[in-house]
Amino acid sequence: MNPEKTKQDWLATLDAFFAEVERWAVEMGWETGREQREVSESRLGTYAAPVLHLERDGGRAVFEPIARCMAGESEGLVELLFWPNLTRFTLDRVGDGWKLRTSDGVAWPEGWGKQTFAYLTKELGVAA
Amino acid sequence: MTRRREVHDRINAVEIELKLARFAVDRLYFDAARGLDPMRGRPSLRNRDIVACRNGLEGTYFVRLFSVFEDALRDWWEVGTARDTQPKMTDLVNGCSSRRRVPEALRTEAHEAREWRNHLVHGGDANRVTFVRGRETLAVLGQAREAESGHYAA
Repeated sequence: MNPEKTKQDWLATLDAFFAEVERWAVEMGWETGREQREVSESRLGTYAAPVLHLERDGGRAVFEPIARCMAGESEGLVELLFWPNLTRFTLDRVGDGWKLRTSDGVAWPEGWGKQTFAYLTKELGVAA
Repeated sequence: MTRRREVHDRINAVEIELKLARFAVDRLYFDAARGLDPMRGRPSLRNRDIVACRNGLEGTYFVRLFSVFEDALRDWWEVGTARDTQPKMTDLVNGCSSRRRVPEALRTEAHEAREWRNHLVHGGDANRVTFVRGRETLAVLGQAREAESGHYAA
């Protein structure tokens, strides 16, 4: 593994993922913003990665990259955390897509996308 | 209470503590993000400590999770196989997996969890293992003693 290339590819993947989420989040009336967080991985070192914040009607959703180098099939992990109910999900990068899981590790039956996000925010009472 | 139940109860207890700690720290995190000052009146703690705590929380509980697993395997070794030695965890995982005929994938996952725990404690390279994934793997292998006595079927 080339750590520098792996890191750059991961950051590009995150950027594309967040850009897509931002696109349909804006369509749904969410305000969006990004900040940076420091991520430390033994194989990649310490680097700055983007964190995506969405906000609407007092509700918030935060997409936070956790690591690129994961055990198993995952090629990167992003956590999704909702305010105000503090419900947590994970998004695993697998192949060209993202696999959504509950905080207990149960795979979400639907694929990740705009409809799933809309469903989650509705059911969780986030930005209702 | 059976040993199998005891291992599960200990793993569940660690997981509940992690969930509660996450809930509490996430609240502090969002309070800070909303412009509140959750550390007001506590001069020895700052908002950046919340971030550091959030970042380290899962690792802290992963180490505790792994200690339950290690304890269960050492118990299996001493009582289940009646041996008076202190093998390395690598050998214990391999020995337990072999005796139980666990799938190769599960043994690999157990070693990944072991390597991640070693990284957290000692440093060195390792792929990240989430608490949930570690719990699933270690809970199964942690039943070794029952498997030896025929009370557990994977």
